[in-house]
Amino acid sequence: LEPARIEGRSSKRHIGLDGPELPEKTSLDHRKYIIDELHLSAHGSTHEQINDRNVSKSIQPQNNRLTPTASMPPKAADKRKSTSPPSSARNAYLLAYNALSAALWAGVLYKTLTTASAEVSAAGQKGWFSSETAVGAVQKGLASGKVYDELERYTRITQTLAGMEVVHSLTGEFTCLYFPLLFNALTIPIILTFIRSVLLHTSP
Amino acid sequence: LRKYIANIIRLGIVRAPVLTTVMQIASRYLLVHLIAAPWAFPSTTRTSPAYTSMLLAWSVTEVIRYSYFVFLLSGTGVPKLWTWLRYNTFLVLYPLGVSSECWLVWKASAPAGHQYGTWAKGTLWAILGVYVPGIYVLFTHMLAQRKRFIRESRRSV
Repeated sequence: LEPARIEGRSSKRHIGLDGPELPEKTSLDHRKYIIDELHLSAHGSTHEQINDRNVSKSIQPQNNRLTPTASMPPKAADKRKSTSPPSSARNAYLLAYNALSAALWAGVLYKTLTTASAEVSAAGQKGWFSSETAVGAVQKGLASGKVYDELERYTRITQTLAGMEVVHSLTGEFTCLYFPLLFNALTIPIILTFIRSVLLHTSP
Repeated sequence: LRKYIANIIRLGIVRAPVLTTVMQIASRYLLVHLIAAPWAFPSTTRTSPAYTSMLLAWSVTEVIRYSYFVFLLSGTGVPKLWTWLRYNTFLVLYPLGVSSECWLVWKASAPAGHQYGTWAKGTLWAILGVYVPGIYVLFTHMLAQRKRFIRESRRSV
């Protein structure tokens, strides 16, 4: 809401908000809102740079640490352009991540629809006598376990990948592009192995 | 390193979306790794229609959400339809997904009790209890975003 903040975040070129999707009449508020939206799954590059600046400034005693954005001069936007390579790499990484996730979930959707509808229509043909209603056919079809057999592993892997998002939501604060990759490559297998071993050992 | 430490300290102050992201992901991980997985409770999950409805709710939501971000990040612009979908479909999909999840957790609590003992059953019930405030937080969060979307789109017309 503070103008300085909006200015600070709107290094549009890095996060690709510079395109035709922002008509001239779009207010700054709206732009800020779109940029804020990004934070849910993908942090724009500007955050990191705000922090860089904030951290480097925090060495100076008079800096107001808790409200870095309000104290930032609008000029800062110019400086950021000089540090574009890491942020465009990050942008590319996030683009790839989101595109891959969208594709994987589209696969889940497609496979669920095709498997479920095949099962339901099969149940309908076989059991019109026993389950007269359409609801009965749906219930019976979905209870066959085919959807689970086809999709459990695929969905598990796809959803596990989405764990990256927690790290993305944190790494708005980190400047290192490879941090989320490394972090997940290390932690996810450890956590999963732990869970699995606990379950296997406690079961009689 | 000093930078990193300073940033970590700041995390507690700055990030509100982190909490909602963690809640969302945690419930998904619970379902995928501790309820539906072959080493968990496939006996109740496999034949439940709630598994299919859960997958449908999840996948439609995620296809919309991720493609929305792809549009946003690629700079091509987000089609109006996508923005509309993003801020309206959850009204149906979120209740569907959450109720399916709860149903599967509830169903799994019986075999959990048999297999691991009462503590496992109790844990799953406690998780269902945690779902109640969780649903409230996440749903009001999404409603607030929706409100903002409606306000902003009205303003730009």
